[in-house]
Amino acid sequence: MRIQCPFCGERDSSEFTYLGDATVRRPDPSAPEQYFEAVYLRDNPAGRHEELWYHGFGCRSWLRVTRDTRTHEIFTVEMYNDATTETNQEAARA
Amino acid sequence: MAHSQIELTPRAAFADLPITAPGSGVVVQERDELGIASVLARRGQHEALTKRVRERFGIELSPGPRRSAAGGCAFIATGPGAWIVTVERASNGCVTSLTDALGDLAAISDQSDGQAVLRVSGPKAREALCKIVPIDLHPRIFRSGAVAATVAAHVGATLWRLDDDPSGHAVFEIAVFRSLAESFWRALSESAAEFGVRMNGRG
Repeated sequence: MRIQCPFCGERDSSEFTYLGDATVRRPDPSAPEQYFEAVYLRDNPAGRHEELWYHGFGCRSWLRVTRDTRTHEIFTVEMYNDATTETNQEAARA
Repeated sequence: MAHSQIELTPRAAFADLPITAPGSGVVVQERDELGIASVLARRGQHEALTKRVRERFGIELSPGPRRSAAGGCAFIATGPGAWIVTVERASNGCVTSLTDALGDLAAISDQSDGQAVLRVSGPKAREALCKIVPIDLHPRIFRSGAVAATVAAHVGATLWRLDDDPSGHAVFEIAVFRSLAESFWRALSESAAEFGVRMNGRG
């Protein structure tokens, strides 16, 4: 599997570390049940999945990757900081 | 009895490492005279830093993993807003002057003794390197000025390509953390053994 890093270009997956679901948000610490759910009860989707990868043996950027978990086809890769900025901007506009 | 003062002498990272297959296919030279610093743009200061580097050093920082050089100073982009800066014929004050010029816009840290840089040239340089890095080093893909922050035989490394030598052979430089120089050298010398290795400055 190869990932198209927005900075470095196409690189082997061995340069990256997988973190997991990119859509999980840190819940309110005062709600332990939500916390338990966010930490332990993760979905395991067959198909499109938004996930975080760290390009540690490269440009050291966090990336948000949309990947098909069945075929490893990758649809989009973006810098996670840019992605979170956009998400925050969207949230601010809403 | 008076204690004698311990004399510390500089020691190049690759100086005592063995050459197991002498030859002339791959020529290596340690760049131990380079001054090296890491430069990280402070948050939101990327554009201001680009402008300052243009004014002070006459260097145009192009986007992406590229090496931009002028007047013996080179900015080697390793990530978004991150560079390794090398200074030729470095004096002790070269990183201080870099901090004076850019310190308000970037975090600068002296790496002259932390990173070891090896120049790899000769007719078989590309063949020797492409066995140990997961990077396409084809001359049309990895051109002069290209940079790759990557991994070489499990050792984190920054590789860049310089202009070809007068005989038309590709010239590369590769930076690794000094403490990993021996591991890296073992991988490179194994990879280059079939072509023969010569170290400049050694018999």
